[in-house]
Amino acid sequence: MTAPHASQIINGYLARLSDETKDLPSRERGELIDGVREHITEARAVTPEETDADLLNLLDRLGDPADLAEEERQRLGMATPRQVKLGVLEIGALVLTPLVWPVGVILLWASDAWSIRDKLIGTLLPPGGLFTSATAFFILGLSPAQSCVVVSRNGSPVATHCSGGLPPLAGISLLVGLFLLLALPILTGIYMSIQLRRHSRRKQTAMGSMAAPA
Amino acid sequence: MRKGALAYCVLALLSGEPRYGFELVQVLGQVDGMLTTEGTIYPLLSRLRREGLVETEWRESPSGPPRRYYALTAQGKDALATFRSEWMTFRQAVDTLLQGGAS
Repeated sequence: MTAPHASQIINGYLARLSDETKDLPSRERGELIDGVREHITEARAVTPEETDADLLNLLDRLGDPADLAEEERQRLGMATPRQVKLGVLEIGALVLTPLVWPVGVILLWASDAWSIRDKLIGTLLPPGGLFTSATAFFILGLSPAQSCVVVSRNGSPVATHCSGGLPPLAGISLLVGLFLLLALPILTGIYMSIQLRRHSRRKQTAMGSMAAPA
Repeated sequence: MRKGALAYCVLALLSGEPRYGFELVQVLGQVDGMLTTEGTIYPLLSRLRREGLVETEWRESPSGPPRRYYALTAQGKDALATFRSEWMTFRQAVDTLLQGGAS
């Protein structure tokens, strides 16, 4: 007989194992998960009247997925991946790089949560941050806009003379430029937060195999 | 130390005939204190295979899905023989020292 919650219990365990082993090389990861899956199948085959408690005991004896993943890492001479480190520095860099770019960039380089590539993108891509964008908008707002003079005779307009303003092409490129000024800092902020999550999850350094017996 | 010795216990178990993972766990489980968490046998087996001490082969099971069988390689036999002689010497040395207080 199958235990009432067999699939939930087993799938939950295997999902945790899969999650804990994300950083392992795919071949070793697959082998470990296959081995554990086979083990569960075999162990269940020799339990005639299976209850939920039998299954839970079986998984307890197998060990916690985190411990199995750690064991595999030791066998491979890998370091434990660092936990997500979200300090004041990282939050500051994330918030300030799009907003007050110079301060944000200093925090960005001070933190070791990003790779050099990410830091360069964070430094070069947002052109001064939204603060600069706002300044640009302000200056443009002050610049003389198009002004038109309507020439009228006897109350009805006969001609319109316009001066100042910009030719259409320049107007479009200005709009695109303004859009980029707005979009780039925001996009950079999004990119940096994605990289922060990915990086902290994967961060691991090669370490000498200490666990391997001679 | 237990971890290191466990690898050779597995090799010794495989020296007679190829076995599959769960079978190894069952045999090791009968010896007290050898296998605290059963799942750790799988990282161990995978390492032994990487080092060429065991080789694997899928075999049909009379009941259920195919099983991955582990068999000792020539290299594995050598490693086991080396460990056996070292272990004998080591055990004698430790025994002598542990009993040293009494003599």
